[in-house]
Amino acid sequence: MAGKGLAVALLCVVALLGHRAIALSETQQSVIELPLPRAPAAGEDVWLQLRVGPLRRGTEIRVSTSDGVLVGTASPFGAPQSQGAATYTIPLPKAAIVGGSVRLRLDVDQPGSPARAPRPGEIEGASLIYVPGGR
Amino acid sequence: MSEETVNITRPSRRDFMSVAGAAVAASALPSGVASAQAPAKYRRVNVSSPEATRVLDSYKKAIRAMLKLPATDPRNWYRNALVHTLDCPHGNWWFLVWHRGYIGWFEQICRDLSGDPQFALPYWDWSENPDSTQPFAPRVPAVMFDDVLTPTDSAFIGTFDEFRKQFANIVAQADYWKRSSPFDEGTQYGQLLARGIRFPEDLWFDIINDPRGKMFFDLAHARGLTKDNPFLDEKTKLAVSPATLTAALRPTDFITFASPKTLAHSGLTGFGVLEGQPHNKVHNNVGGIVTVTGPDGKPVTTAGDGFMQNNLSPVDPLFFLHHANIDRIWDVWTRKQQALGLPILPDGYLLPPGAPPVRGTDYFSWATEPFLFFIDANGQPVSKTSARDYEAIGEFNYDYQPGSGEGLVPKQLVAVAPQALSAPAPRFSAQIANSTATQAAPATGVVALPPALLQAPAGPNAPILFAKITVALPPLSHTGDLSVVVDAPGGGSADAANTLTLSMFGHHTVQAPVTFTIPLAAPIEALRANHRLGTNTLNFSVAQPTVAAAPMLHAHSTDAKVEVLSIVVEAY
Repeated sequence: MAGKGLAVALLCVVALLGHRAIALSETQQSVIELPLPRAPAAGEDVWLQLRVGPLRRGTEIRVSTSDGVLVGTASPFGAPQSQGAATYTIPLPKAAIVGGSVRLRLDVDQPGSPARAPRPGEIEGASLIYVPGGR
Repeated sequence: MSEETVNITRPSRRDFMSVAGAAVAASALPSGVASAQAPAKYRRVNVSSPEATRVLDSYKKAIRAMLKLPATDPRNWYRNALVHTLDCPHGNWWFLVWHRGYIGWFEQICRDLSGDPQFALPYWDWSENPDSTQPFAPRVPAVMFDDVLTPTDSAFIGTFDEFRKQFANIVAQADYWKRSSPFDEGTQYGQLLARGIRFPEDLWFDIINDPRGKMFFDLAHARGLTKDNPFLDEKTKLAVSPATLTAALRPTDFITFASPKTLAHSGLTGFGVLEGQPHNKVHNNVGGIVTVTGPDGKPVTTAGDGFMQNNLSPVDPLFFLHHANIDRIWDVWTRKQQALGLPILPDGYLLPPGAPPVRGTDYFSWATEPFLFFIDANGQPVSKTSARDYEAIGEFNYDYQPGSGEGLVPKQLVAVAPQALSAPAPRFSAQIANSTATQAAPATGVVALPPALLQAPAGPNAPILFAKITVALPPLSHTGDLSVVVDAPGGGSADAANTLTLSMFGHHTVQAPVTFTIPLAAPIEALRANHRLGTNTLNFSVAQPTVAAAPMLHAHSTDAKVEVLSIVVEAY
């Protein structure tokens, strides 16, 4: 069916965060855990949508698996006056899914400073989406 | 089976195609399917290919000519770059289409000023590993450090003071400051106001004085990566890797592939994989933002200088090779979609020939967006001034030498019943009985559905139902979860199986309604198992949690109201 792939592409499971993830944000730890609502279907990928607040020039959010494998970067580009929060879509490797959850490490790479955990306002939210693989 | 031409959209440059053996949904053809059509007039080649030598010579001639044009000429190199500063979209669904128009017109200027009638932009295929015996080590092409192919060449303006001296009066007298009466947002000045540029001083502030990051860099700092250090850093290497490119090409709908919807192309709301990963990272890394591993094994980030890191990035000639590759990847994705019988543009683009976009569709909003700053090869404003004019390669009449990602385009077209594509997903809106969700009472609505949809047994060919629930949340909404109970007529059976959760996270400044899309398969199955599934209706109730049930709830939000604006069930 032509519509099936499209249908799942439109699926946007928004903000499926458990309380643990919220608590992590508020205590400034840099690991988030996002429970999957269901196992991905055959041929389906799970991607991260990370809502990132305004960042200073040159600052980026580095996203890694909990064991340190880089999976992507939130790297702002665009005129500063329009740089409010923005959502970054980042593909996740299957290895990022462990036991029904996605566990990720977020580090802030800021020029002139050692990498650190996100501060309030730098990460506004995280969610997972399912992405089909066409046919 | 008979040969059949299916006409389900208006013709593109390449018109409709015929394919034997299948009824093929020949949706709009931004580049077409090469095997079925005549070659394009111009070919954009890989900068690392032998054919690029002649192209780069022509490119240098064009750059020199544009640099020498007086500032009064809109084709002047810096005047052309300022078009990007004034009007470029990033972080929204016009990113791809605006840049197609921008570099397409630039290519025509180059063709004219280079004296090379065959000129077409080369592309920088950053995902390519030219030596498969070596580890993937993407880098700025060596040739792009030569002559005027680098903005550090002395032919470019050396300092900001000199730049302002040459262009201040020109900018101040430009037509784009003209105000219409009554005021019209659909003018150049309206577009500038939308991005906070009220008068020339605002523009100069953005270019050089904005403490959040300037746009102009002196000659010695015009590009971050250098001939001695041309390699992309590890984060950028991942962003351009074949694995990321494959993922970027994977989505089966336009908005997931491109970037999210906004109201206008001055807005920035989010980045799809293609824009957010390879596009942004290459800009920033070439522009001098570099992360390396320090002596202690930990990452160290430096914010160096370089035009590519900001919106005056077209000063760097590499910009156009980078964006030609982005455009190439859009073309690859489009041909993949066509081959699979999948949509190539926002919903609502499938129209009879010559029909205008239908108001109220995503395609209408996208296609009618005004692009008012492009300049043609004669230095005149172009007549093609909407996004729709650039949804296909069209009269630009180029194609691409195959590059990375090409292997993802199926060789054979997939047979697709045209009605499967042309028919939009059935949508059923709820009658909202109570739109306000408080802790005391939920918002409620009822959706009537065809019995065949609701009663269809589970299986691989069963329709898939989703509910799109649009809610207006209070500003600074940290209201914890909203629960959605999907129930039979009469309700009253809320349990874990038919209760779904909508959850916001963190500290939001909510400025617009938020739409949550939730799958309905699980609650429908739960109702069916309990013999509570109705014949043709589903009840929805959207409730705020009580304080006791949600310990994370912030005290100041406990009395906030959530308005449910719509509940729509879609079937696929």
